[in-house]
Amino acid sequence: MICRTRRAFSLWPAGRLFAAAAATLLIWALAQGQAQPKSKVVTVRNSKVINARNQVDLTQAKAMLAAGLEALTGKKEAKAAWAALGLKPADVVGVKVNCNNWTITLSPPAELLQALTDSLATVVSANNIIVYEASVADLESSGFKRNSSTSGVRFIGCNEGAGFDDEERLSRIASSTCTKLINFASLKCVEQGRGASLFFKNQIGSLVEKDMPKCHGDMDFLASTLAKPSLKSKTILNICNGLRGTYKRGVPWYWGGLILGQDPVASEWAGYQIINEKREQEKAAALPVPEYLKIAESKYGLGTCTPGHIDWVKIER
Amino acid sequence: MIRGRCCDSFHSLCLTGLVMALGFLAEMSAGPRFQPELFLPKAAPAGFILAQPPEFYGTESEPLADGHIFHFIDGGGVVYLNHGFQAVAHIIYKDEKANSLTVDIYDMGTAQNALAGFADQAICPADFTVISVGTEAKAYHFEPDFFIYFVKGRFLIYAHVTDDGQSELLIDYAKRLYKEVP
Repeated sequence: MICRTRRAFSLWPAGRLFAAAAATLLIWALAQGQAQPKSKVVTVRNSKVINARNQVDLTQAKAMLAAGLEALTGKKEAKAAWAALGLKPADVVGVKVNCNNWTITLSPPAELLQALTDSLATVVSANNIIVYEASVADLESSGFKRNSSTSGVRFIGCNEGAGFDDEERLSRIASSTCTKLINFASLKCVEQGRGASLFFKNQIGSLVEKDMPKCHGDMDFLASTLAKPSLKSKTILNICNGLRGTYKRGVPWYWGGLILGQDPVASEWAGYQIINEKREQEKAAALPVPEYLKIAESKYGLGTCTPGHIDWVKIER
Repeated sequence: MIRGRCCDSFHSLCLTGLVMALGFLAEMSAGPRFQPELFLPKAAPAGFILAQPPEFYGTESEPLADGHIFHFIDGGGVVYLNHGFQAVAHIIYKDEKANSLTVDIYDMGTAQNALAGFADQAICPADFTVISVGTEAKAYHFEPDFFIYFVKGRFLIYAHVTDDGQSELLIDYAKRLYKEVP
């Protein structure tokens, strides 16, 4: 007994040190957890939303969007979900779409865009929703009719009257007209060392024309695009149309899904994983996590592409 | 539209022809350069009409009426530039059901460049079947889309229908383009 007591006594300082270190580690881990909550990304898939003729079911599209918003915000009703994302009734919300018709049309289907604008209209008036692209011609080539009137959802181009903000080198639609933004990308694989064209490349269309080509070779410039103050502070949701996407350049497939997230880096990372799943099935080499995403995380603090920091919620309907 | 105005009178037709011929000769003497008005298809495919005026895009240093390659296909234009891209004519036809038939005629500068582009999987993916449109063409069927790539001289030509039920019509039209494109 004496011996054990003496031994325990002799070990006491080491034990106390160990306990103190453990407690410190625990507190540090908890603090880290509080400081860096995981970025939530939601993917919603539904095999009924699109058929093999590229025809989209509006009802299913609406249901998918609602499910995605609920999973992202925890709010069942669209109005509450948008409020949780920061949308207020007085806001003017810009939806930057990607109208791309090179080889395979990957522009957002009208039904999916309607699902989004109808949902937004539970909070803001329809005329306070602005769907925009780099040019009116881009919108029209994808079947969207220009509307700059005071009635209904507006469809306009950056090349129209609003012009560009000199300081941000950004369309005034994003910098001035709109108080909130939605980055509505398409699931598009471009390869050629540039991987995929998702949320970062979608906003190239909001830049002044002279800056657009810089995004094609300058990874830092591309990463910095979403760090522009207006884009960073006003974007409340990144959503990617993956009903039909491409997993190789110019080669489409019907993924039948949407990606939603507030963190553009994590959402883009998820897009790469989705493309890579298909590439693996088709025995194509995986796309690496691109340099611009790493820069966006490390240099511009736009989010995370570290898998352990991403909470990926997958919904199959 | 240009041809419609030219046909208003015999004199204007002759004058236009003379100007075009002189322009063509001048260009030939100065080396090959894209003259889109000379290479547009002479007629629309059966059942289709022009959906909009043809568009013409050049390079950043030598843009054409509608701008440069990045206005046309954004970052995807880099791969064409890698093969000597000089210009493209972009033509869209629509039928009464709003189906589209698109023709893009890329001037790649030389026949060698055009063939290199044709062989590049970043332009013409690997998943093709070989068909003949007067020359060997690569055909792609991604339901409901059907499209073709082929080369004529220094031109890399892309033709696409949004309704694969019109595949045969597209192939016939591609055969005509192969004959018409110089």
